[in-house]
Amino acid sequence: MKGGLTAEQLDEACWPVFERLMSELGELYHNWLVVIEPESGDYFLGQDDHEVLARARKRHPHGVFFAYRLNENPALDTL
Amino acid sequence: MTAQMEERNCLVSRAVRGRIDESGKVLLPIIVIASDGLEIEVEALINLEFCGALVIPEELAGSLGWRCLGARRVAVGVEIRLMHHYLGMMAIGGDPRNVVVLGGIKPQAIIGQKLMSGRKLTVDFSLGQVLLE
Repeated sequence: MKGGLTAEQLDEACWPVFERLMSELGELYHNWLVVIEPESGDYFLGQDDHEVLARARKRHPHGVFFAYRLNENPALDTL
Repeated sequence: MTAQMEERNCLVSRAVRGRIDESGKVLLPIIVIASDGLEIEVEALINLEFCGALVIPEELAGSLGWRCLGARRVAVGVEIRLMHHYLGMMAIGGDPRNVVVLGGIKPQAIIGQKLMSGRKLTVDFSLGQVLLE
């Protein structure tokens, strides 16, 4: 990935932004998806991962992003 | 050709036949398309609990030249795993399309609800037939 970040490092870099968003927006946007770009701290909210990632990519064409569900359990998918 | 016949032909061309394996898993063939245009057929397990589009083994996703867009947390059973997400081109009957693809930890590809939205899935265990229309 960009900058040689592992998935764990990317999660670690984005987690503080997610925690802030949870406290600020968690109630209003409960269960929505949030995609975070770690260097700028920019975040993108939506309900469809393809659409939200496309929006994030448009803003940061070479960026990498960590995606969470705005929920107490931030896992985005269940397998 | 009447409009109805055209519509029927279109629907027929989108139909995909799968199979039920010896352990009862419902499988459908899909095509993943590498960044250089190479098409690879993969047999994918249908998992209706998965709300996303597609999971393929991380090794395969990495070899297709797709853009890695980062990662996400995924609940796998009782565990939380981190998985890379890619933007990848694939087809499951009909025209190729771009979807978000997860790099999975298991060798089995998985397709979820998103790829079946608006379509009809028939699973006949008595005849061992699977059809996605």
